[in-house]
Amino acid sequence: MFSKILIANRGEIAVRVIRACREMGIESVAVYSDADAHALHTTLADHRVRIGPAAAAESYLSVEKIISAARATGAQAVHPGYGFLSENPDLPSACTEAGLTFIGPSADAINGMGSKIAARRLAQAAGVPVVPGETPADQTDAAIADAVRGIGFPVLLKPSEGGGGIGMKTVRDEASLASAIAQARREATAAFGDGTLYVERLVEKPRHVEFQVLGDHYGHIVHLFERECSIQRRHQKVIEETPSTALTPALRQRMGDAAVAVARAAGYRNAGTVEFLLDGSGDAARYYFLEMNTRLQVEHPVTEQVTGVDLVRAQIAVASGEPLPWRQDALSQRGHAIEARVYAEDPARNDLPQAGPLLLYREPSMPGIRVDAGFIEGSEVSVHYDPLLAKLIAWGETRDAARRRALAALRSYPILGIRTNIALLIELLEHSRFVAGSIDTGFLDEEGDAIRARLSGETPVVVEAIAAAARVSGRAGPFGPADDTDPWTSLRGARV
Amino acid sequence: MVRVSKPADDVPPGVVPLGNGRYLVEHGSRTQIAYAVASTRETWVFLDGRAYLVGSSATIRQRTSATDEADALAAPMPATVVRIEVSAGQTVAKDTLLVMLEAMKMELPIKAPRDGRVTAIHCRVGEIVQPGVPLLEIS
Repeated sequence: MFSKILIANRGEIAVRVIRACREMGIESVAVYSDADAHALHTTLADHRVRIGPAAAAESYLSVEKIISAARATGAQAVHPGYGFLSENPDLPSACTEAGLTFIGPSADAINGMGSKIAARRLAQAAGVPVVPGETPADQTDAAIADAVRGIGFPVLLKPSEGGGGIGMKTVRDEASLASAIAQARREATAAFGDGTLYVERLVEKPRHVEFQVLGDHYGHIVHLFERECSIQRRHQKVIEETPSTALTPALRQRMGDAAVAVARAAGYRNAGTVEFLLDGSGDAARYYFLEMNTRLQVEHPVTEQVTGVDLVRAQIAVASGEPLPWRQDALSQRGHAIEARVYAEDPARNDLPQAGPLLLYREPSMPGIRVDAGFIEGSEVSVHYDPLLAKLIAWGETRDAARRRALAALRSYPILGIRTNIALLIELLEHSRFVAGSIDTGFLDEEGDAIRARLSGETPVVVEAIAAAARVSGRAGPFGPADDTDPWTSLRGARV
Repeated sequence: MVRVSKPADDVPPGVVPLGNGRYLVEHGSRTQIAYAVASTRETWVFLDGRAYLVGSSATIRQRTSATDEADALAAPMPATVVRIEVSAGQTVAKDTLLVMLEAMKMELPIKAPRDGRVTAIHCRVGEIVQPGVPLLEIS
């Protein structure tokens, strides 16, 4: 086992890894930019090394600075967290050259999954379905029509050279096929100067369901079940949960086996996530491989809560050469977990990121609630980095119990000084479609405006009264001494 | 800006400061915990999962009134005028109680921000006043 690990990250995930190190008796080394000199992760670690100015490109994204910080402090291993350098194969390569262990997959595995086309081929070769699609070699109208029938309706006709949704045509039946092909070809030619068409199965109202996998250096690979991540906006996840309401035991087993097959084909070790698009729900649902994330995920805690496995600890153990301590049949899901991501952003203003001081920040503490945060009261949220403040994870025996716990906790989670999305999270968790579990990746696009509309409105009179009381009694704020005429303060220390 | 100073005996019955940014909100026997932080410019309040940013009377007045800011004194929130303690032309010392407002069963004293002379009174007892609307002026 390692005696010292450098964490090449910041925020809540750096804090998460530092805490795992501390439990395991491993010294931790934080790296920090000038903007993070007093950040929680910087002050929590056993050692800290400045790696540059606030700009990530000159600090957290510099392989050279990470490696030299590890060398300078005598760290034996580097944990990349997520984001930043976590999926950059240059970091594991540089670690190997420097005689350091990278806590993650090999550079080859990261490279292999880095290209969507290569990853799609790898999954197909492993017998895992991908969204059916092809660019027919014969581009005559008749051959395109045959390709469409082979894939099955509904289909999308896309310009082969295109992107960004330009010139895409949805075809739902044979009757409209001929005219759609002609129109798609005209638009493709007009937009890209090339009428070559790609034919793809249209997955309507898909869910995003991913499987956690974990492999060791001895060829053992297990999956730790699914995470449902369909509540997202602009491809940023907002709420994740496990189990997914769309999976049956049979479907779960098939998808879990497929995830392990992809990981095995990639020669994967350490923690990774295989993402699927799910069409429908229940035993008849179809799933398609999307991509593999070759790192720990933001939403890993929901898996930890239902499996009882500490994924960060497992990552460190596997990287140090230990074999996986369990086989697939020893793993099970117990209860339900929901994660709500608390962002420093203003839902009323197009999710505009917010920066500033956390004047007051109090995490809820109640049964079944876990908060993974990168900040504490008094922390400064910087304009330079991701607006994720914290993740609130609720566990319950049932989905509804977990949901109610998450709601109760969010209502007792005051964050003042900057705006957050907590009120939006509450609305989402109370939404009838979320309660029913009938969600897909279009949920926030369809319901977002109505939800946001409920967030605006008049400030209640009681809030004005509280504000007035705060101006009267609390001008010093929560940090300074209270007004010495405050009877509640002057009672302190008095013997009754 | 309006300085609403607080003597020890006027802890409002509707909203009780518990210290460290916590407030007990009482509606009869029903209670709720709220959190608030006041800075010179604005006040943040958290109640039942919602955070509110409430502008100070000074910032609100900047938006709503053309009256010279330094001389106008306004209600920090919608409130009822319960007492007017001064009359036009009267000389007042800093921190003299000028007007007592009431809102949500809570008394809100409006005090003189500095030594001066009351030049005009724009409110009357019983009137419901809105934030940003000047109550009186001091030269």
